[in-house]
Formats: sequence, C-alpha cells, structure tokens
Amino acid sequence: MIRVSRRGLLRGAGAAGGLGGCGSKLATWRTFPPDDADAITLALPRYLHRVTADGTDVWLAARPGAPLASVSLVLDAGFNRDPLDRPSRSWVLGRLLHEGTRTYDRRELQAAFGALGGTFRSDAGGRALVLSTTVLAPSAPNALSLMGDLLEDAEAPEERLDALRNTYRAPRRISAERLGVAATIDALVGDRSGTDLAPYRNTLETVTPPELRATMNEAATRRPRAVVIAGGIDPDRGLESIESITRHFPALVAQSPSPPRKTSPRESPGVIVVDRPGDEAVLSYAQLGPAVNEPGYDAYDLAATFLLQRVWYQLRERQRNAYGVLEGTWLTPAGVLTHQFTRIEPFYAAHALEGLVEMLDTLADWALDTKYATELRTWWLLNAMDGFQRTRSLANTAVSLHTHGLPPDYYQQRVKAIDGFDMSRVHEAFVEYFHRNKVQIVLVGPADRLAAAAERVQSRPVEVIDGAALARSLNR
Amino acid sequence: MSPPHPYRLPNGLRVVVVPDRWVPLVSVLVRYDVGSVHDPPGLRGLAHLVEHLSFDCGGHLDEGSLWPHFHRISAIGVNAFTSPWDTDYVETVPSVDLETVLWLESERMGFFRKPKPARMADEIDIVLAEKHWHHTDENRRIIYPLYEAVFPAPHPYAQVAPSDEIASATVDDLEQFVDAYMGPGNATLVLVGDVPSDVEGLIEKYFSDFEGGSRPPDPAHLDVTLTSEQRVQRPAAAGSGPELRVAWRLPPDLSEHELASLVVLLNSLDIPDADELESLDGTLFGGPRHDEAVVLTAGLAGSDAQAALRAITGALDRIRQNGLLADQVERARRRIVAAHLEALETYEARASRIADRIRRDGTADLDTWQRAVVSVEPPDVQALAARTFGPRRVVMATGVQR
Repeated sequence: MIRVSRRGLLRGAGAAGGLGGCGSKLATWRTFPPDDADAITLALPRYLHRVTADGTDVWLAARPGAPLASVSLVLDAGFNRDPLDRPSRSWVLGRLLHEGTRTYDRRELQAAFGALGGTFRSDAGGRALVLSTTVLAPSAPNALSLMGDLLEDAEAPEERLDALRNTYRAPRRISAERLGVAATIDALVGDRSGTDLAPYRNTLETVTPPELRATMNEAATRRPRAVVIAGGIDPDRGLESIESITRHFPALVAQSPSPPRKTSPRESPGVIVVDRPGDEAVLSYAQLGPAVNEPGYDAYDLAATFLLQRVWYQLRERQRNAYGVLEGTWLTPAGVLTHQFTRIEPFYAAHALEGLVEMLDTLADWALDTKYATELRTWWLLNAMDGFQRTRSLANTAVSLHTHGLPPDYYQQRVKAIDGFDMSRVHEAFVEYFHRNKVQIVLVGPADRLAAAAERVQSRPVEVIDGAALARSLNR
Repeated sequence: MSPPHPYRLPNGLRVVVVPDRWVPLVSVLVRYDVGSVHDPPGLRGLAHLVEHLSFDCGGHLDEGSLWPHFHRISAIGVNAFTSPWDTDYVETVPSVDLETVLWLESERMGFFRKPKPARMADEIDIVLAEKHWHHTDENRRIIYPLYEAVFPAPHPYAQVAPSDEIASATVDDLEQFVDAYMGPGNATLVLVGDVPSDVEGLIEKYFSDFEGGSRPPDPAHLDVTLTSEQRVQRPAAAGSGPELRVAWRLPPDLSEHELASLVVLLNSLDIPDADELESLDGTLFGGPRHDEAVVLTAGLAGSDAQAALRAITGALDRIRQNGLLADQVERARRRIVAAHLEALETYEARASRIADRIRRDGTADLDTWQRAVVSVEPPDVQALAARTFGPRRVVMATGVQR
C-alpha cells in the first residue's frame, strides 16, 4: 500500500473555491460535505520477475484466491522486427496463429483452450507478438503448454491465408474516425506498420505459409522471450511449474537485431481535411511523444491528460458537444502517437477548430493551479489502480514492462514520481510537444463545408485529401 | 462465502453492501427503476433528460452541481446511464471518500433542484446532440431497425430510438417525473469494495431522512409479439462487411436454467462446413426480469445471405434433432463460467450485475448464474432449441445485394 498525500490542498482550496463552505465549523452533516481525508491509499500490484534456466523471462503477478489467470507468451516479433520490404508480416503471422498447428486444426485449438475456460488470442504489436488467454486459474500451466505447441508446430494453412486475404480484399466503408487516424499517421509517421489500420496489401498478397512458419520459428527462439502469468497462481509453485514447461520450448539463440524501420513524416504538418461526403465530421489532433521508457514520458502523459480534460470541457460545456473528446494511443515505429478526437457537427467545425488552436497557443501560459493539478493527478493514479482489478490488465501491464525494458517496481516508482511532480515540467511538455506547429490537426467530413473552417486557422497550410482514395488504401 | 443480502431502509431504499479489500476503492451505484419505456406520452427522452439534470441536484451545493465535488475527490468512472427500464448513477472513489459520495448521492436523491429555463434549454440541446450522435452511430444504425422489427410497434421497445419530442419538455414535466419516481422507494443502492465497518450507519445517516419514489406502472403493449417472419435489409455499417442477423423473441417464462442452456447453445454453435460464414456470434437482449430476445450475427464471407441463412437454420435444426455432444457442453460451460468471473472482476461491474440480479429475482447472489450454467446437460440444450428457434423470427441482411 502506498499513501499519497493530498497535502491539505483539497480542503483549503475547496473552501476558497466556493465549494459550499467546506470546512466551516458551523457545518452540519446534511448541509456540508464531509471533511476530506488528508491522504489516499494506493495498492499497486507487485510483479515478480525471474529468468529461467532456459533463458525465458518470467513475470508473475499473483492474486491469491483469484479464480482466473491470464497467461501470455511474449515473442520479440512485433512490427518493428518486420523486414523493411515486408511491413506488417508479423500482423499476418498473428492472425494466422489462430488457425492451428500441425497437431491441432483451428477448431481443435480453440476447443483445447475452451476446455480450460479460455479463448486463444494472438496479436502483433509494435514491439512484440503476444499469444494470450485468460483461463480458470488451475488451468494456467495447461494453457502455457498449449502455447508451447504453437512455438514449434505453428501451421499457416494456405486456405486460411486465402480466407484472410479475401477479408481484406472486400471493399468496406471506413468510418470517419478511422480515416482521421490514417491521415494522421501518414502525416506524422509515414509508416502505418505498428498500427492495426490494415495490413500492407503487398505483404498480405505475397507472403507464403513457409515464410510465415520460418518467421515463427525465428521469433520462438529469439531472446528475449517472456512468459507472463497474472491472477490466481501461487508464486513459488507457479515459477516451478512454468520452468518445467519452458524447458521444453525451443532453445533460445543469439540473433542480430533487425535494422530500425525508417519513417518518413512530413516536415511541417499542417491542417488536413479528409473529404468524406455526408453529415458526419471528426476533428482530431495528434502528436508524437516520448516512449514509456524515455525521459519526459511522465510530463508528456500528464500534459496530454490536462489537454484532453480541457478540450473535453470546452467541447461539452461551451459548445454543447454531447460526448466530449476521446483519446487513443498508437505505438508507431516513430514513437508513441497520442491521438485525441471528437465527432462534431460540420457547422461547428470552424468554431471548434478555432477553440482548439487558441488552446494550443495559450497552453504554455496556462496557470496550472495546484488544486486542479492535484485533483487531476489523483484521478490519474486512481485510474491506474482501478485498471489493476482486471486479471487481463495485470498481465498486459507486465507485457508492457517486459517489452519496454522496465523494472518490476516501475509503477511504485512512477506513483512516487507523479506524487512529487514538478508542474513546471508539464509546462515544458506543452511547449515541446503541443505547440500548434507540432500538432497534426485533421478534419474528416464534407470538404466543401470543412475546408473554409480550416482556412480560418491562420498560418497553417490546408491540404484536402480524397477520402475515398484514402479508404481504398486501407483495403477494407 | 455467503452471498450478500439486500435489505431495506424504512423509506423503501434497497441496499446491498459487498465488502472486498483487494484495492482501497469503493464503487457506488444508485439505480432508479425507471427508464425510457416510462417516458410520458409525447415526451420521449424525458427520463434521459432527468438523468442529465440530476447532476445539478442538491439543495446544499453552492455551485449547483455535483461535478465540482466529484472532481474534488478525483472520483473515477463518474457516469450515468438511461436504459429502457432504469437509470443508473455510478462512480468509484478512494475508500476514504465514501462518505462524501454517500452525501452527494443523497443530495441527488433527496434534493432535486428545479433547473432555470435557460439551464434546461442548454441540457435539452445536449440530449438532442446525443440523439444526433445515436442516429449517426454506425452500430445503432443497424440495431435500432432490428429492435423495431423484433419488437414491433406498439411494443415500447419499438420506441427506443431517440426523438425530438424532448424539445417541448417543461420544468413542470421534469418535476412531476422526479417526484414520482426518483426517490428512495424506487431505488437500489449498491456498494462494492473497501467499505468501512460502520458503512450501514453511514447509509442510514444519509439516506433515511427523505421519502417518496414509487415504481412506475409497466408500459402498455409489452405483450406485442412477432406473428410471422420479418425480413429487413440495410446498408452495411462502416468498418463492417456483409452481415446477416437472425433474431427470435424468447418465451416470457424462460427459467434461469433454460437461459443458461441457451447461452451454452450460443457458445457451442459452430458451423464447420459453411464457407458462407466468416464468423458467428450470439447475443441476448436483456429485459427487466429476463432476457427477451436472442440475436445471431453472422459475418458473411461473400454476399449470399440466403446460403448463410440456410446454414444457420440447418445448424439449429441439427441441434433440435440431435442435441450437442457432452464435451461441447462441458467446454461451453467452462468458457461461460470463466467469462462470468472475468466480467465481475471490477467493483463497478459487480455493482451493476448485483443491481441486475436484484431486479431479476430479488437476490444479490451472483453465483446463481454460475450454478445454472454448470447444471446444463445436452438434453437441456436440445429442449431449449426446440422451444426457442421457431419460424417467427427477424432476418436482417446488411451490406448484401439481395
């Protein structure tokens, strides 16, 4: 348990801010809210990290008595490992692992996981190919053994590869939000691998089952390889059990790292309007920030949270936008891309855009009062703790620690860092990352109504993109 | 561990407290048993508007809003939902702030503040903006017409799509609705998490000094049913390929065991030789006391909806005639139990499920569902299939040529 002090700010600042006279000696329990606690308590998971004799990293997050366990097998085979001429090959591999092994066909594979209470998943991300499931806790070792079969025995049947191609050959309508993400990534990164927008058509059409099997064989033996188990598992017996399984995995061998992917972002992102006829419009803004394991990430993350809240307030309370603004993050070859977006009425576009740019222009001058900063920081910490109630989140966090090379007590350290945070660093992050010339703004919707709104934002070039062509490039 | 027992305060407020110390948080849910099917005639959306304006409640809030107080304690997941049958308010807070949240929710329950006309007009604008969003939301473009076909007018569910009627609501309309339904006699308070030992005393302190609130009468026409097969065609939603949905109404007296048998069937449904199908999922449409419809959604590999429909119908016929194998049922039981346990992992989700369970059978026993699932045997599934999947159904194709 970690105690995070509210430093007396809440009560004093609250009363000063006119919150119903909090703290008044004359208060009765019905008329005034109860006194605030001086500190809140945080409980964060303790991750146990070991390396087995065969060289596999093991991450455990035990939750004694929990009925479920999440099991992940993490291979160093994400998008960033794809050869430069084979972008998104790991995505195809991830999709094909569902299709079975030489021992189990796809139905037998799902039936085998089903018998443990789980469903098998395999997904390629920027840094890893992750095989995962959540099963009834006593079945966790069996789930890991089943995944071990995939390491040696993965099959990629030609007919299933064809079925996957057919899925992406069929033309589909693309949502305005998805077009906005695509235009943003094209502009800021210039490489869609590392995102789940769509596989690169050429890779999907030409990759062969033997190539995919060879890719899997290489991934299975590349160091680092990790096993993550979270939930109802005894840490000591769990480690023993895992080691007895991983010793049958393919031996790890030294392999040279892949060359880094080259990205080709635009030099000066301007305002992009993606023409999509109709009554819907989406406004988004995005920028590339530091990765989780890089200096400055905490300040960047808090700055993005502050901005999100501020824009949400602007849209919801001042412009009557029903749902405020949403956020997505994308781990791209160029770094972490934070993308905040909202649906707007096309006739609101100019107003919303001007409001957004004005906010960006004044961020560095924004006085982050300590009361607001404390509330938001506490909110951020509580959200982190809330997420750890889920077994799957416990496991996913360990996967993230592993793939980013972070220590097992990373979250404990981070809470301390956030608790004692110097808000001047957030201001620095505003200047560094959220300056209007560094933020990519994208409007999706009817260009005849949106382009004029974009033109009203001074000093930024406006580029209109054909939404239909962009949709075709997404291939679904 | 024995299940938590609901109890009532003298004013009728139903209370359930579920202690759990895994993380030092508490989720608080207040459910009022009134929703969009109870909107007065000509005022569709009133329950939704009340939900929005309830954040302005409180007779003792200088700023006239609950929001600054939720922000002050950094409450997370603060939200409200209006469904056809109820209105929920939910938040999760550090356990040390539970008393503040009880105070806030009691302000909301006991001290509704009549909005000034300008404030009401603003919030009506927001509700109408949500309506616009719902009409442009890709999934709802499919789901609303499906509901309207499965629950044909004048069934009240045929009216779930938002309308403009709320624009004519007055402050008096609002006050009458609140006075009638938004009181302790029509509410359930659920607390899950790291509660203090004196929690029951705190609840009594904050919620026992006001009265009112009664259950609204059930709307008319709930018994309107499907009389024949209905066919509906719509464009595909963005991001989706061609799909086929087949929906049936469920018998009104379906038991928990039969419902579990149905979910086992849905979980086991596999059509290995149907090249027309890319995927197949089953979902239930929940009602206040039991589920009321089942929908099978098939992703199509091509655009031959007729072939897909034949494949689905054939698979259900085979189950009706031959049932499922014992190991299929066993696998489904395990998957369903694991999914059930996973759905209960967060305090907030558990609070919501408890409120659902209370509405269903008056208990707070979340293991009821698990017990029903593990008792399902292959003949139960066969019998359920015979009872459920008849010719009166809705067939909805999206993104296909014919």
